[in-house]
Amino acid sequence: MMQPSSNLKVVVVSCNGIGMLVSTAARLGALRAQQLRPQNIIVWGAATLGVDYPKAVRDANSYPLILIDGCKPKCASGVYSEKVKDGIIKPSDIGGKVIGRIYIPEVCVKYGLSLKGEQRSRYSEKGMKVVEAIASEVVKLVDEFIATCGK
Amino acid sequence: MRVRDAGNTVGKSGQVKRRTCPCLIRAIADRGVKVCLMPCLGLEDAIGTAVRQACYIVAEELRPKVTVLGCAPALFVGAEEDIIYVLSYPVIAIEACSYACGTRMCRRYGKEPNAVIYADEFLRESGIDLGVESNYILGELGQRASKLLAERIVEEVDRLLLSEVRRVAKVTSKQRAEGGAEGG
Repeated sequence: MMQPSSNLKVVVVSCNGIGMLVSTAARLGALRAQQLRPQNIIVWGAATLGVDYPKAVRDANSYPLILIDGCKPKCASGVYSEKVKDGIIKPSDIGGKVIGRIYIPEVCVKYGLSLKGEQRSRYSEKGMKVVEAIASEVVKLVDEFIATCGK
Repeated sequence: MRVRDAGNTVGKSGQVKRRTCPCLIRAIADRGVKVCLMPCLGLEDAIGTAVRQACYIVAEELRPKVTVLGCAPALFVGAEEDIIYVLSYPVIAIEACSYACGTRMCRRYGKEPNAVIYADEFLRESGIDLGVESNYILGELGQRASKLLAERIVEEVDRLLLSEVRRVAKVTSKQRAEGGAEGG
């Protein structure tokens, strides 16, 4: 994938849980995407936004968002909805609006991957394939957004 | 009830590091007493990753049967399991900075953490600067920081476990005494 030269930014709000195996994939997937598009991606954990961490709130209101949910409670989406409801995030044409949602079980199905047998503290090659798949989905969304803005 | 500790060691600063006897921890686990770890889960710096890894070391290797991991995002969406952990067990908040996200999460459910560890201060005192470490996957320094932090967390876990056992024992003996008085 060729890196776009644009300086447009997108905030990735990722599940940053600790209990479930899939939360490691969410966290690493978001950070890997940031490595691939350092000029365009800012990463914040869902809980960090949840506790109204000032920089996270400022970024969430300044740029469009991609939400990464790891498991059924869909915490990143839940936190976003709560923050919009409370008026902490105010979606506008510029920032605060969701341009994409990634649900990891769906990514696993799409790419024919699984986390079965992995350890949440350290992924093997098998788990890292899921991480790469999530990162590529994030990057795809970011590139599409940049391309759309350029038109 | 008297509690004995074994295998205490003296740290660099001269302070005695209390190492709790493993059979005592097993006995506590048998009673179902647990401590909830509520870590900062920040993604922006390596210290958040180090805190997370330290919690895994504690929960999976050092004190697997007596600790549970409190998941901050899950608390936001009202996941029952995590709410029960926070409200039922003593909680240790492990913070990466003064904003104290772990403590804030506990307060959201009306609970003040029973102990707070500031990882940034602890690592500074231990002479570890994670400024150059990656927040993605920790290198050697980050792993060393995680291990040190894990040991520090274990000290608090053991202290809270013993304090919880004493509290439960006191309540039980009081209930027995009251029951005996009523019966007699």
